[in-house]
Amino acid sequence: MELVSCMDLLESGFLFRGLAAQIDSSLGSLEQIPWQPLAIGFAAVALWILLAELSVRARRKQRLIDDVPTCKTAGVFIGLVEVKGTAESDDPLVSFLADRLCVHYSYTVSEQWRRLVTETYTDSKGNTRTRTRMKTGWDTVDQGTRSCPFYLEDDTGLLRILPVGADIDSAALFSRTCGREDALYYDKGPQSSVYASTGTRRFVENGIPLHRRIYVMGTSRLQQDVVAPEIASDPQSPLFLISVKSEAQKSSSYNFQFWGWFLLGFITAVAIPAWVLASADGGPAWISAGLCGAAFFCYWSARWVVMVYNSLMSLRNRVEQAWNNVDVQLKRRHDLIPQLVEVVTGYQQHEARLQEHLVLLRNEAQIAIGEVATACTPSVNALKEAHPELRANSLFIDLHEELIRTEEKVALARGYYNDIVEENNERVERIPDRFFGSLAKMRRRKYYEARSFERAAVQVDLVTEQSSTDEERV
Amino acid sequence: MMETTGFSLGGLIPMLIIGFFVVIPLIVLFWGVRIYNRLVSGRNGFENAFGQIDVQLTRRYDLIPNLVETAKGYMKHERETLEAVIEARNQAASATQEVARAPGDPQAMQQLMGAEAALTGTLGRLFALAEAYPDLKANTNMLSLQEELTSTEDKVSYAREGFNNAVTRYNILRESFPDLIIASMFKFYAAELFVVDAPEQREAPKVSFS
Repeated sequence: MELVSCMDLLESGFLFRGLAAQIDSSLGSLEQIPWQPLAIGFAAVALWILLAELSVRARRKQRLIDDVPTCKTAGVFIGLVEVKGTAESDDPLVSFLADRLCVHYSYTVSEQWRRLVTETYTDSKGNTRTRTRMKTGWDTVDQGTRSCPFYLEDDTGLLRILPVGADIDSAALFSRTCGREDALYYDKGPQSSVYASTGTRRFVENGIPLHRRIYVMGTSRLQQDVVAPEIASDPQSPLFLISVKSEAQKSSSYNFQFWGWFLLGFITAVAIPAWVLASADGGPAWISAGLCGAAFFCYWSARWVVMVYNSLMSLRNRVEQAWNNVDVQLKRRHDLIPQLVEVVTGYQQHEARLQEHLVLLRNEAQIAIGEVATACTPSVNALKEAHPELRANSLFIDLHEELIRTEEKVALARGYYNDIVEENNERVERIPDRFFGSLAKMRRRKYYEARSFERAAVQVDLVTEQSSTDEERV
Repeated sequence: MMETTGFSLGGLIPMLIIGFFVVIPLIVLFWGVRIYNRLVSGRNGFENAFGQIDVQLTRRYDLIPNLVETAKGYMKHERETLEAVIEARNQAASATQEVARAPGDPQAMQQLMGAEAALTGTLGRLFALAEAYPDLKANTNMLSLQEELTSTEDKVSYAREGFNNAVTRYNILRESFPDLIIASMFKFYAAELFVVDAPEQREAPKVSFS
């Protein structure tokens, strides 16, 4: 044993010495290293990794959009949510160019120039030459972006959205190209002009107009001042998107990006080695090109598998979250409703006693008017006027509204759960996701179902005593 | 083999070896540390979110009994004021009867004057109450109690949803590839979401005023 380890040591010592000698000699022959193809090689590999990443990321976003069901604003919970509605604001912005009310806009003013440029180029014989030629181009002379917090309105309510930091898709609000004779030229553009200006300016403005239907996906949090959620930028959020496009359009644009980046990567993976090697020494270019293409495809596939696994696993966790968020609402109902009922009952009793006293007082006042009018008679009459009706009414209305709101919240949470279960079950069966399902521990989920007695139509019975209807329900 | 020229990779081998044994482990190390830190902040995130629920529950525990006491106290005040008015009214009535039975009795007359003054005083109190709260009512108090109960429960439930969100975020992080390698190496356990502990609490509470 010892002998072997000694041998090992010796061997490794030799190895290191050999390595050192190699480094020495390679430093001496540093100029022999083919730097240029090496640099091209590294740059190409970096480019392929980037393109594969862009492609897979587009797919990840698309899957996220497809997997997260739309939430009503009244049912928005804390977490990643997707909402659809119109953009509303009490204090909207006025867009700079189009003068339209909007919640977000960005404009660009660019000016055209035409000038002689001197450029150096390499001619066909390999000589470096210079030449001058007329060139036309556009320079941005002014630009700006503004957005304001706004509300997204749907049929259940409003949700505040802070657009700072969002990935915004806006609609075209304004686009015009004009010359100096147009009033717009100096009104909305700077007084100075670029060098060799042709006197043509292009005004372009995009934004989200007020009342426009939008699609928002992002992470919600609790507002600072009001007990209501809002969607705001969150560095840990996988996506923060505000778009005038519909969900389907957005999804298909990510799908397009996915295939686009992949094809670009694959084509460059085949074309760059073919081109480099063909121009170098005419080696077996097509074999290398094929190998590079296959390598790119393998890398991209591996990234794609990881992305699919992560996406399925996230969906599974979101399904769990949705299920437990139903529990949050049930607990809220369990804690809140008896308290509210207690308040109403307590006040009802109080008011009943109060009314008895008041009736007594009023009757006495009536009698007093008949007999000796006392000093306080007018005051008692005034008191009668001050107490015209039963006040418990407003508490009942409050309780009534809160009962509705509470049940709606529970129903929305359950509805959301069923929506996300649908996405889950679809992924469990779909190709290719079904092949990765067991890896991501996916399983079919049961939808929320009403118990059989809950399915029956509710009997509205205002005559029978509450207690008897209770017995029937049990 | 060392005497290479042109495009041979012979001169590159030592550099590649250095790259392999120095640069790659360094990259892996930094990358591992980054993931580790991300997991740590995820774990702290949900622990804090759990604490936030407790903050809201403590707030509820401290606030609600006091608000209920305040409402009760006001109801008592309102009732007692009214009872005092009736008491004074009854005294004034009996004093009036005294005067009617024996007109000219200076003592009875004085009693009546006193009773009238007391009644006016208690009525004054009643109207002061009415003016302080234009609707003279414990009603206002109760309405704001109802509102506060609702917003307190809203805050608690948003805190619970925030906790569920932080837990989900952490669980996704610790199960995602490649983070799961570091998570299993350093024992980042799965976190539990909020669950209602007693199943009967899931049932709808019965509202009954009988």
